[in-house]
Amino acid sequence: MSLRKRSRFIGLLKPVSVAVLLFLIFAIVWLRSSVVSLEYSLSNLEKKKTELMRDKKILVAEQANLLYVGRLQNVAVDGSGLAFPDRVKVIYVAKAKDEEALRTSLRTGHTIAEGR
Amino acid sequence: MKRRSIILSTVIAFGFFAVILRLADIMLLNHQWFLLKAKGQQIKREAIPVKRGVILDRRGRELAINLDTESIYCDPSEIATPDRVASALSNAMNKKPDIILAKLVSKNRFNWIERKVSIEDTQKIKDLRLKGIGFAPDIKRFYPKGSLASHLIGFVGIDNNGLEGVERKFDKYLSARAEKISVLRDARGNSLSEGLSREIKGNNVILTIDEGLQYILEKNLDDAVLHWKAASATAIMMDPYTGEVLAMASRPTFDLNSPADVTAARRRNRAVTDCYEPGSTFKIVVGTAALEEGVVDPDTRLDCSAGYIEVGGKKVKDAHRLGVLTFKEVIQKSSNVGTIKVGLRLGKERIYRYIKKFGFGEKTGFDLPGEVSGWIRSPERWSGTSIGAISIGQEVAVTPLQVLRAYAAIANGGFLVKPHVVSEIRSPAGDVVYKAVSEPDRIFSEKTTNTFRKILKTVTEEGGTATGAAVDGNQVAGKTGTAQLIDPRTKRYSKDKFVSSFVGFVPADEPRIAMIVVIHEPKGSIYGGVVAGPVFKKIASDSLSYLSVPRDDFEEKRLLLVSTRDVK
Repeated sequence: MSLRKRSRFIGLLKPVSVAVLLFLIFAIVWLRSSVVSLEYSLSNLEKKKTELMRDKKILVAEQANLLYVGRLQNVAVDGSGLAFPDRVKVIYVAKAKDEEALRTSLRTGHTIAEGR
Repeated sequence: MKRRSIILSTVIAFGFFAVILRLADIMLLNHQWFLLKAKGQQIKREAIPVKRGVILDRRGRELAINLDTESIYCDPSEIATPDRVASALSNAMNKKPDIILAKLVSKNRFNWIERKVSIEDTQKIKDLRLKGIGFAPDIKRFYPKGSLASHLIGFVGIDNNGLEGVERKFDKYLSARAEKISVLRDARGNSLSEGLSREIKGNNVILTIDEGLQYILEKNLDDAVLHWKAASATAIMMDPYTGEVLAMASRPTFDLNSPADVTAARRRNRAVTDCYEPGSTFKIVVGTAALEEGVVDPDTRLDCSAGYIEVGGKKVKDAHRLGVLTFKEVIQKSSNVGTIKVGLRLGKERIYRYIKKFGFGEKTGFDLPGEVSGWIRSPERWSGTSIGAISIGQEVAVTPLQVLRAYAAIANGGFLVKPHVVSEIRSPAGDVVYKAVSEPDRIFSEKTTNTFRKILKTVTEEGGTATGAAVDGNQVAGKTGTAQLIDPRTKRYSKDKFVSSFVGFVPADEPRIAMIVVIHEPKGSIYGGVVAGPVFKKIASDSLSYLSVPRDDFEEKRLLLVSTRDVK
């Protein structure tokens, strides 16, 4: 390489190095600020999650309260006129073979078990 | 010009020098001090809310859960106008201003104003922007089923520590150790998340009780207490093969969400903490012992025609004159005379041995706090009348759970089970931490239990003392009990205060449930068969429907439909 070319290269290298250095500094600052901003976003999301979890817990409590057997019975008996099954009138359905689908007849004792 | 330039350069140089000195001070000389100060400002230690594990029934239905709340506190030193703040808080909280004011003017720097306030209510107070008032996240235990299984589940204190029932006994599993984490925050106090989970949970406890069965049992117990104007009552339902308690209730009761509103007496789990004289239900001891020892068989005839028997100079009577009875009839008709005659044939040593075999006088090992062992004297301390009294269930004190366990042994073919209410404990991740293991001990031969089971069946049949306990469709095996209470004034048996009970199992030949009903001080009638028997019947009938247990005669009555290809 000629001396002239070499001095031109060195002359170019200086500003490029400064530019790269500046770019790296700004990149680090930008990266750092992005991480911090991400942490803020995460923090906000966590707050939202906490609020939603709180709402979920309240809903679970309400659901458990609404599905309380005593309440259901009151609604069924007083509200819908339903009654607890009369054991004398209950008909039991069994499968003759495990792989078979259930089929029933309204005629009591239409077919009797070969095995339960 | 040159002079000015020198002065300016010198000032700038000094300025730079001062900055360099300060930087050296910050970064080299006092580095640690500034680092600590910076960390103190940027890093905040936050307590992670600890949530108790939930309590579930055997089908996974929630019985005890947690709700997020906030607790309100104050720093009196930061409150300039306590009167105004107290008035504002009083309006927002519906609380007397005097009580709040006392906390606002206190000398302490930290005072709780109200614990576990709902998020909606705290928001109202937050909107007031009162200086010196702070908010801390808190967890409130909530029982969605109110008073259901209250004595069994128990409750927690203000700091979520278990105080009664399962909450207390399994507190170490349900609770978790509180921890703190470091959170980065900016100058405005906004926190910067690192994406870490911030929740500590205790283990979940799964009970053996079934919410449906518990409701059936409690509803009918309430009806019975109301009908008989009883002072108190207890009922327990158990799986006779495993000892799993399916339902357990005592009356009077209380709401788990406000346990402080009632007296301690209402909160007592009478099924395990209270003893009573069992009366005729205790005849199981003499009955099974006599069969096991070959002293009698079901058809052995015993003369009860006198209507009374004298033991140790004391006359013990039957409710009615019964004539000559077989041993089977002695149990069926609950003859005191016949039972004492069998007891005399056995002798006190053998009776005592069988009492201990059934586990009377000892704790059952039930997994709830407060269980008592009952009371039975050793034979050397028996008086002349004791052999007669103990044979018919007097001079002994037992808990309802002990009596039920004894009858469960007849139901399951002769094994003494360990009653328990917690079936499993699981970590928040779902791993099994604890599992109840049933290790029944054989205490009787199968022959004896089968014979005694047949005898117990006759109690609910025509001619027995508990026809009112018979369930439509399934045979019930059981025994009535009517015992006098001791009058605390006279220290003698009361003439008008009784304990009426019925204990049994159903279906008699393939038992699904064993149950005891004990009604204290019923008004209007006293007999176990009249007072407790029908309660047993109603609970058993509804429970068998709930469990889809078919009638004993469902095949004979052609109530079974089977799918076959021929069905048209």
